[in-house]
This record gives sequence, C-alpha cells and structure tokens, in this order.
Amino acid sequence: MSQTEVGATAAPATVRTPLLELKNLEVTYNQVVLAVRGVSMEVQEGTVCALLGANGAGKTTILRAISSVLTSQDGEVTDGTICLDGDPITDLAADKIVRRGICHVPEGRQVFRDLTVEENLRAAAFTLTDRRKVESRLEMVQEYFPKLTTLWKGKAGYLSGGEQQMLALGRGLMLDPRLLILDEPSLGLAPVMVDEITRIVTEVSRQERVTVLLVEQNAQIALDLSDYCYVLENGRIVLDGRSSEIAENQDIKEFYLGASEGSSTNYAAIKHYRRRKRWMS
Amino acid sequence: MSFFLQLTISGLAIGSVYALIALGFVVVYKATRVLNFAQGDMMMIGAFVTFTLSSTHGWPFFVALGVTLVASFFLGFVIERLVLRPMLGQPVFSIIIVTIGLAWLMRGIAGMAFGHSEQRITFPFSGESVRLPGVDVTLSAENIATLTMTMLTFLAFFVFFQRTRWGIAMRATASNQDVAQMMGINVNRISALAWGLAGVVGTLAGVILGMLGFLFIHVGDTALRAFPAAVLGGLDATGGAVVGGAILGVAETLFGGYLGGAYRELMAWILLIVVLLVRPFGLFGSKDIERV
Ligand SMILES: Nc1ncnc2c1ncn2[C@@H]1O[C@H](COP(=O)(O)OP(=O)(O)OP(=O)(O)O)[C@@H](O)[C@H]1O
Ligand SMILES: [Mg+2]
Repeated sequence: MSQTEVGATAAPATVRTPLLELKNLEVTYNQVVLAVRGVSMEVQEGTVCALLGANGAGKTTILRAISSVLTSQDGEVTDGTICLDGDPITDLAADKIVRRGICHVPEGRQVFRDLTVEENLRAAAFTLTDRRKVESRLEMVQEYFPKLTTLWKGKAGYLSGGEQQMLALGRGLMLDPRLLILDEPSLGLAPVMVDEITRIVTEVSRQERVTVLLVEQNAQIALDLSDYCYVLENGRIVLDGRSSEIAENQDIKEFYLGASEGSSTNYAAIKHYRRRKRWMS
Repeated sequence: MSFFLQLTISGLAIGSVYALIALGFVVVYKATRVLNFAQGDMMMIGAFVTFTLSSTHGWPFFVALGVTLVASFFLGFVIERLVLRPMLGQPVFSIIIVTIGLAWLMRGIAGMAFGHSEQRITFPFSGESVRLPGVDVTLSAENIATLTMTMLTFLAFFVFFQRTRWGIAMRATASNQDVAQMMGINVNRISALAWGLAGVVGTLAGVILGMLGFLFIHVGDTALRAFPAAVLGGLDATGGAVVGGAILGVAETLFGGYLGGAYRELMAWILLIVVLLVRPFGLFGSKDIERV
C-alpha cells in the first residue's frame, strides 16, 4: 500500500502518515446488524481526537474494532482496514494490539471488581515484563491519581464511580501507550469529577505525549479537550473538522451542546437535527 | 475422645483429596466458567502414570511424582488446546457435555493402558507412623504426607494468585474477560494455564488416593463426591476449596464413624443442599456482580 492518496478527503492536508487511520470501516453484529457503515477517520500523532455521537451511534463499536475485541460480542469487521503508522492491524489479536501501544479504556468504568486497586493496575501491565518499569509506572499513576494511593489495597468493586474511573484511566496509563482510547470517561460522573478527569486527560496527553482518541456524548467536554472532532450518526461520519470550528457550528451548538446541558439524551432534539439535515442536503 | 480425633484426622486426609479436586474445579471454573467433568479422570490418569513409573518401572516415588506432575500440566494444556479451544464461543452447556465425553474417553484409554484391577501406590515411608503425645492418636506416614502436600499446594496457589503476573492476570480474566483482553492479557493462554494447573492438582489428588489404596479406572467418580466441596466453598473461591474439602471430609468421616457407613455418603449431599439453600454461591463464593 505505497501509492499516494489522492487528496479527496477533507482531512487536514498533512503528508505525515496518521498514527491511526480507519479506512471505510464496516462492522456487523450477529452477521446482520450493521453498526458501523463505512467510517473513515484519521488520528494524528500527538493530538487529541474526539468522536462524538448519540446513544447507539456506533462509537463503542468502532473502538472495539480498533482494539480487536469484537468477537466476544459476536461482531466482526466486514469491510475496510485499520492502520497503525500505515500498517494494517485489522486482523491482529487483542493482545498484539496492546503490544503495539494501543490501550483501550472501556466505557462504564469496568474495573476488575474482585481485585484490589494495585492488582488492577498490575493486571493492566501484563504485557510489561520489565519489573522496574512496572514499578515506575505504578508510581507515575499514583502521582496522577493520589486518591488511588489511599485505596491501594481495597477491592476495586467498592470504589465510588469517580474513583473507579480514575482507576480505569490509571490502568490505561500502565503500559505507556502511544494511543490512549477513552470511551466516555465522563459518563455518570458529577461535574466536579468530570472537571478532574478532563484536567488529567489534558495533562496526560501533554506530559506523556500520548495521542488520545476520545469518545463522548457530551459535546462540551469533547470539543474542549480535542484538536479534531468527528461526529458519528447511525454508524456514519456526518461531520468532521477542527474542534474549534465545530464548536462554532450552529447545528452542533443547538443540538449537541444544547442537549448535553439538560438531560444527556434529548431524543427529540436529535431527531429534529436529523430531519433538518436531511432537508438541507 | 481419641476415637473422635482419629476420625477427624482421617477425615482431614480424605478432605485434602476433596480440597485438591475442588481446587481443580475452581481453577478451571474461575478462568473459563466451565465445569470440568473430566477433572476426576485427569486425576485417575495422573495417579496411574505415577503408579506405573514407581511400581512397575521402579522409579523412586518422588521422581515419579515430579515427572507426572509436569506431564499432567502438559496433558491439561493439550486438552485445552485440542478440545476446548475449538469450542470457544459455543454455549457453556455444550462445552460441559464435551468435558463429560472427554472423561469417558480418558477412562476408556486408561482401561486399555493400565488394566482394570485395583492398585495401590506404595509410599516410601509406608507403615511408619507418629503417635501424638498426650492424646491417643496415631498419624500414619500417608496422613502426614497427604496433609503436607495439600498445605504446600494451597500455599503455592495462594502465592501464585496473589503475587505473580500470571496469577493476577488469571484473576483479572475471571473477573472480566472482556476487559482483561483489552489490557493485553491473552485469555486463551490463561485458560490453557488453568487446565494445566487443574491437571497438576488432579494428579496430586489421585496419587494421594492411590497411596490410600484407591486406584482403579473408575476412581474418577470420587471427583463427583468432591464436587459438593467445591460448591460448598464457592466455585470461584480458591480458599473456599480447602475449607469446603476439609468440612466435607471431616463431616463424612465422623458421620460414617459414629452412625455407620451408609450415612457417610449421604452427608456430602445433605451438606451441599443445606449450604446452597442458605448461601447459593457457596461459603466464600462471590455473587455475580458483573454488569451485563
Ligand atoms: N453485541 C451486540 N450485538 C448486536 N448489536 C449490537 C451489539 N453491541 C452493539 N450493538 C448495536 O450496535 C449499535 C452501536 O452500538 P454502540 O455500543 O457502538 O453505540 P455507542 O455509540 O457506543 O452508544 P452509547 O453512547 O450508548 O455507548 C447499536 O445500535 C447497538 O444496538
Ligand atoms: Mg458506547
């Protein structure tokens, strides 16, 4: 795959190969449910890229495809490719993907409930065989999340929602990933906690030079945090651009930012948005 | 009093066997959520191999045991790779049926390879015994060996699960297989490892039974009697296996000793039913709190 791309996409005109690239990705569940319908995306190294979309848009499905954990859900990539540094990684097993430096922090704060905080972090460092590195990463995580230190030997299942989210993020950092994938880190957290998480994600992406792919339903958070943003609807990208520009986009303001202030899913507003979009195009 | 203590000691010895078998059930169940009905027959094969090496070929007992332990680890490993791995993603029910098939397959092969007569594994210090001062109780060499081996095994498993990279990974997989995968844990290797370990504890249990004089191709059925021990302790609790095994072994022997043999076997099942009525997930098992 060495031929140069004809500049047909609207993505920023860089010659650099993106760190992560999805080309026309299609994912099917149970051989019939088409959840992702031809998605193309690029995540440039050193940036924070957001993927925005309502419930059921297919965000988690895209992330699962990237980290190769679709099989347990009876899903499979039925078309398209996923490339890391230009190398196709679509068919690699999940552990190989992790070894390539992609770390996926799943939605819903799925910590290992029966394990202690420390053991959760150690389990996340499974692919690291260098003991000294494991210890130094443990220390680093404790610096980012001092709260976790006080809960070190406690069972993760008993942590509060915010603490579990910190632990989930901490686990994501254990492997010193090149690409950190965050699936709705703000979900179900109080505003103070959301601010805290937001601050840490920004800090991590700057200080550790980690590229971040952030999935959110909360447009405010997504646009604040990211450099570039894709909007997903019904398994298709309907809009993409620099986050600063998208934040100015009238539709987004009205239907995503507006909706995110009240109840998190304003179904009517979203339906209205879709109708208007159809009417406009 | 001394009759009671003597019974308790032999109860603990038989309880050790139950505990080890239960541990085999627990390890596989934890890592893969499969009830391994071939556990008993893996145990039987291990015992026969040790017997053949030590009694027929004259190898020193501990050498024979060591070699068999390594071999049974690989047997478990191979079984997982050849039989269980291809079943991945099938309903748990079918997988359990496959383990039953596997059990009978191993029994058939063992019948052809080792014959149908009853055997006994001779323990090197057999015949010697220790009298406990004060109380009128004798500990046979077999009893001492049994209790020591069981305690060492559980200690090793405890350290493995708490301290080692693979042990923690195995518990993480038991807790949430999906996320374990996202963390780079190769869950196929974990389940192969679990089967290997189940083979090892199976062999230990089988060899102990063999030393006590129970070695024949249907000895695997004992595993079904140990099954209540695993359920009693909690199918996903390693520590539960040892407690469940001990309780079951002692209760069985005491009931048998005081009320007669007929009550012996009944006891296991009465205990099982009572515990399940009170605590459906066993004494130490965890309620499934995982989100769907
Ligand atoms: N295991 C599955 N089997 C069948 N269909 C599925 C499965 N998982 C997800 N889907 C479907 O695929 C679509 C996309 O789901 P996905 O979880 O990716 O959405 P999402 O954008 O992450 O939503 P949310 O914001 O609610 O997390 C939905 O219509 C969903 O019903
Ligand atoms: Mg989702």
